[in-house]
Amino acid sequence: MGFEEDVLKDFITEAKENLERLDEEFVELEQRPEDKELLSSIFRTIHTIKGTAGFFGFKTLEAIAHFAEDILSKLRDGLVVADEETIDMLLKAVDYIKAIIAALEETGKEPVDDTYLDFLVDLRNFAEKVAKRAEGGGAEAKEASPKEAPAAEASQASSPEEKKEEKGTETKEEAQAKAEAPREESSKTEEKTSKPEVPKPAASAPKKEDKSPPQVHLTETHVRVDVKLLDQLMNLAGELVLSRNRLVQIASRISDAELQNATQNLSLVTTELQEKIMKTRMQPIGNVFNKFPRIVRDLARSTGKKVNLRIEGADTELDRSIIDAIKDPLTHLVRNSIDHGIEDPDTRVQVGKPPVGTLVLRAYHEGGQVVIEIEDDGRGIDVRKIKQKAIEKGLITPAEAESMSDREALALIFRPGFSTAQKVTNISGRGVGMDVVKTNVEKLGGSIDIQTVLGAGTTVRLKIPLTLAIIPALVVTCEGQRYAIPQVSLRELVGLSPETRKNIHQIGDSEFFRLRGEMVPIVRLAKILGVEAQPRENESLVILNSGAMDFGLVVDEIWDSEEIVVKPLGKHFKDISIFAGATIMGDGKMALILDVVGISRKIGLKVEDVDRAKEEGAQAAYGEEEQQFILLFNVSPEEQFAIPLALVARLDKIKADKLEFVGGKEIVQYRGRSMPIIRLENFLPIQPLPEQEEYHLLVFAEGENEVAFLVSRIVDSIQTHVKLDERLYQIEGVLGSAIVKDKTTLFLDVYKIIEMHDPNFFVKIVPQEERPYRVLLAEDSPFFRQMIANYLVAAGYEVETAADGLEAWEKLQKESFDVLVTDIEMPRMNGLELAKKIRAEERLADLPIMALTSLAGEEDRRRGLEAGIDEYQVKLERAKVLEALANLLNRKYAKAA
Amino acid sequence: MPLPAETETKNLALSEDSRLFITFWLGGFLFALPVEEVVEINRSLDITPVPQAPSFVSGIINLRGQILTAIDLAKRIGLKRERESHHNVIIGRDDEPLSLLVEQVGDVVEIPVSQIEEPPEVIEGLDTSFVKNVCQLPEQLLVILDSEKLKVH
Repeated sequence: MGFEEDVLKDFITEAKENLERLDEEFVELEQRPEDKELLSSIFRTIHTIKGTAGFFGFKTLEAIAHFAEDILSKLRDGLVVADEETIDMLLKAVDYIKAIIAALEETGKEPVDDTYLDFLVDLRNFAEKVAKRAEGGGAEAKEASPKEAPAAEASQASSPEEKKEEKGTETKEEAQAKAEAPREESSKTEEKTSKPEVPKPAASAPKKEDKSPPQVHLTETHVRVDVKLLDQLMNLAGELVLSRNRLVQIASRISDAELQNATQNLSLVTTELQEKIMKTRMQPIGNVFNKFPRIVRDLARSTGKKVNLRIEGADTELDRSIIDAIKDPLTHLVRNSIDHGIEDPDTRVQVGKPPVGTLVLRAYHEGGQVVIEIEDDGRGIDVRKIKQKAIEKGLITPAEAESMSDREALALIFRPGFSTAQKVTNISGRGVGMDVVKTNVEKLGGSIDIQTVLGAGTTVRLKIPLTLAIIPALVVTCEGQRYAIPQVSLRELVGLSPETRKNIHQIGDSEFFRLRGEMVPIVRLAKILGVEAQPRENESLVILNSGAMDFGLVVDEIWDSEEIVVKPLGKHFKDISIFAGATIMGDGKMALILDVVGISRKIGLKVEDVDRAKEEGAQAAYGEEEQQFILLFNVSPEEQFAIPLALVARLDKIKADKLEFVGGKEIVQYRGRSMPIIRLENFLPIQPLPEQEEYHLLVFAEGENEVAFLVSRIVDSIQTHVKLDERLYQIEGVLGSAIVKDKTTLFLDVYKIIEMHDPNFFVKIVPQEERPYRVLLAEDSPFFRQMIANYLVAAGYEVETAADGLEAWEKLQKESFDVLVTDIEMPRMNGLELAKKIRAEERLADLPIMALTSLAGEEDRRRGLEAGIDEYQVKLERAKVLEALANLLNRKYAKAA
Repeated sequence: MPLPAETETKNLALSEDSRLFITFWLGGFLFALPVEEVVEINRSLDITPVPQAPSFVSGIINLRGQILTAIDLAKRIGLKRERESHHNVIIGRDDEPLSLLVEQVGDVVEIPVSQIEEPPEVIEGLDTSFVKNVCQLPEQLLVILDSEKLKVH
């Protein structure tokens, strides 16, 4: 159905254009009545309309076009000359055709109105007359007075069959042509035109003169534009963006208010222009989705399954080039779902599912990307089978399979040479595996992800950028040259200082960086590029995701993030896989765009090195000085703030015009919801946020609730050991200060600030007791100590703090507590020692103990349990900590009671 | 620098049996390309090197928003370069344009077709596979390059 609608739309658009041209051509024809070329062109246009109308079954339209074509063919063949009257008639026909097209566009149906039928009769009679004239030969036709013709013909508006009999002297050819025409006409028009044929034959003639065709003005709502032209426009818009960037750079050097204003205005207009032009290249994803009802139907039939296809979000728009590129991957995934996912009706009934399976194709926008989901309610993917298969295929060893998480095992599907089908069917087994699908999606800068529930179904999610032409990118430098890295591949940035360099480990031939307990392979950009690198003190590490793996790229400097216009490189560079193209920067110089997937292939990791890295990573994580990942940001450019990175749910950017003030609250439309905004200057005595075109959002989430800090700039995210000074700033919402990257940095108490903004943001877990539980919190880092104490107090606990294990031990001797919450890594006495000591003392043997750590590995947990710790949690996961604490207390004291 | 000899003329009106060439100097040779194959000539444009590229590729240049590949013509045709090549002779009217880096751009010369000859098998200091024709000017051999061969990557 969608298909037909599409075709109809195309037909109408095309017909409208052609009809406009016809008007002109007819006028020209009056000047040059014997211009063969002109006549042929008109003939073709009418012929096309007739054909298409016949295809759709628009009888009236087809009949009008048919007779017009009839007349035109006589003109074209030079049998009659186009006089004023003939052209009048033809123009009228065009007017009627226009009216019908207009009605079609509006209602999708032909108008049911006698005037059309009356005209049809007139037209047919006229066609007859012309045919007659033609019979008499070209010379005679010229002599025939147009004035007497209508009257003479009007009386003959009887059955065409009759007329045929009347004429005895037709040539064979003509007879054939005539016989064909009326018969076609009668068969096509009879259903609708039974009336005019019989009851109104006489009336039609006198009416003829005063009856004017319905005047409709076909408004042009669409214009056909050559795709090439759009591409050129896109390029020019890209150029404009670059020139704008350049101008903005210059303007920022010359402080001139007028210039600033002008550039700002130019900047806004350019952005808007760029967006609008991008829009012209956008097409609804429905253009691809529409092909699937048929594919699904055919597949279901050939596999003996019953599948109901549901399409959602077909109007989601994507760049034309991307639409083309996702067609094949999508088809493959849909085939997979039907072939491997959805069970046959009998099996479905046996497991209590409806016999008809459901396949959902869904598209929607999310954070500047398009998400496409292929969801089925089939049997799901059996992770054990996948592991088994992977072992059989020699992709992994049984030992590896053992230690693999479900997620990792699912990722095996994307390995080259993997196919889950028990037998290769002619549907999915076409030599194209999921690895090809993945590669194709990644080529577009997208990612693919599978979620599956055994027995309940599978959802494959594709995340695809909206456009390939202009992309946000991070600009870095290496040996004096700039390179752009597409933002979609960017995970995080790490400054390499002597401090953070400690996390670089040389294992075998490869280098790894320990990132929150995970060993990430790193590689120097200079090495990948094959350029000579000067040793330097300060470098940066860019953590990238290639889809298949995370890896770190060591670069000299990190510049800015910028919107860049992707330009292809010439064919001399086709064999270089590490570049995705080039771009022109704001200063007119060029930068090469790095191909993250291409680079990841160049790292050349050895499997044994990766395994060793994993082991060492796990060991090194234990018993090393505690480090924190912090996010540095500015509100005003002068003051630097920090928060633990792990607390942030997401980082994002928004345009200033997306901010709204509703009901006294500042909010932003974010991912389809309204999210409250916190301006830190409203809660802390700090410099206010300057007006900017674009802001950064630090989004925090608690269950369904989300809230964001509005800040001007993200400075960096670094791993460091924070030595917090609590004395200097004793302000609510500030945990303390420290020097980070040579700047005094305020560490903010995120929980406190959110609570100041909205006391109901956090779900309170208040223990059901007449008096609050007393918590002893042992934590050496003042930063964490304060933060944890704050959220415990906020949740309704009474909290006493200790700076290390020994102090906690001393406090336990003097006072009584309901629970101990302790850090593991502490000076003087660590958490494990403290726990052992407590368990050894009879009076305290039953004290519930919860350990908090920055990283929770299975190994840590085991050691903790051995030492007598009841619960093990990650300290930054506030909600989990509170829930676990409440559960622990319930368990201990409910039992006792 | 020595300019091509007197035979050249600024008169662009061509008699039927002669052709116009753009000439340029590189490594002591005087080269030429047919006028119709040259899109434009530019003075030094910024070249951004592309690591891992073939050795005869100098990098990329920004020609009014279009990114072109810059070919180190001297390296490409196996020539010892005497000076830095700073001038861009941009070729490729119908397909991907390329910039050929040359030392100095000469004049436009008109050569009678009768004087255009097949190249000798060996021209000392030059890879003759890129040479299409030669023309003996009074003071200098004019080496006419084969732009199609130059475009092959």
